[in-house]
Amino acid sequence: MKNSFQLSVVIFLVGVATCCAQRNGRSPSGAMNVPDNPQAVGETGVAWYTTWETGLAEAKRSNRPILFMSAATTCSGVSGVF
Amino acid sequence: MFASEEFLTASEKFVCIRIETYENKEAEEKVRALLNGRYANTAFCLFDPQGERRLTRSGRGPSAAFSNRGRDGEAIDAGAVARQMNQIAARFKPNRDQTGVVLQDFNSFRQALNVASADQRLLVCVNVEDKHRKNVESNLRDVFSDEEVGGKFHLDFLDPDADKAWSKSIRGKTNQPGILIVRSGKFGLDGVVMATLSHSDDAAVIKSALLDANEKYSNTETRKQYAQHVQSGKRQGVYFENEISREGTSDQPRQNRNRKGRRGR
Repeated sequence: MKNSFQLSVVIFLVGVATCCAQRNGRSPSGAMNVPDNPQAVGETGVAWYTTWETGLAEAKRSNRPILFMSAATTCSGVSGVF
Repeated sequence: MFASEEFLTASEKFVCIRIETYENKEAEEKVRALLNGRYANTAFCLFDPQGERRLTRSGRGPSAAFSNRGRDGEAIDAGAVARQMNQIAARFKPNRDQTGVVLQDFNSFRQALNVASADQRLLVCVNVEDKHRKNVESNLRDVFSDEEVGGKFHLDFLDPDADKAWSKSIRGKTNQPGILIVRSGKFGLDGVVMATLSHSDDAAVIKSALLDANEKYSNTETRKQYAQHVQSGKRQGVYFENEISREGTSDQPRQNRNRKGRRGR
């Protein structure tokens, strides 16, 4: 019973680590050292457009090139995280 | 890297678009187009202002796109990336006229809450009658072009069809139209209204309210530690359903049909 519980914990932690490691481009072995949100709360960050349509319209209007990024805001189904 | 000063300065010469990889079919197609048919959590590329011609290689992140030749996901020097971004931006002559600047928007309020939570930024939610929208947009253009405001908030215009149930997940004054400053919850599934502005408030009033709210937020919000966040979410049964599921192999997503999430639907 105890071994089963320990195994479950290990599997869970590995799952979380792998998920977060993938998004951060790190090896799973180093994933538990995933850093805090790199952007300090309240500080200026990238001014993102969050749909392709709005961003493209602004790029055409302003004749500025586009920096495009696609990213997942969930990890293992848990939201509120990049 | 995205938080470094060099990168942020360079990013201002671009229109920066970040979509949610699993939000819908269009996002999936965009990611696959950039990753030679693969489907993965992230994709990155620079495009010309028409959104047609690629200005860099495409890949999982900046390291694959620029000439640092880093492999996917490999940490690279933000300064080197910024220098290359500056060189690329210099090929284009931007229109400095701010008239008609396109404002940020989301496909849904639900996704806006989620992204605001993930970025740990306040969400400005516009819920005004059509007859006031033009005036509100004009003021918001001035406000969001202000260097004290730009890049600190997210902005969403409520859609009458997509956001019918928006107020169910929000506490506070949601029964009156206006410009709402919303603090998203830990998992981006709910939120609370910190302040409500009128459609008739001018840019100076809006800016002041945003900065006040941002100060309160930054003084009370703790930076997320990703692994702990995910562990906590799993313990609480959090599940956020997107249109495209990431279950199974990352290269073979499937449409969500019967997955039962306990929250965040």
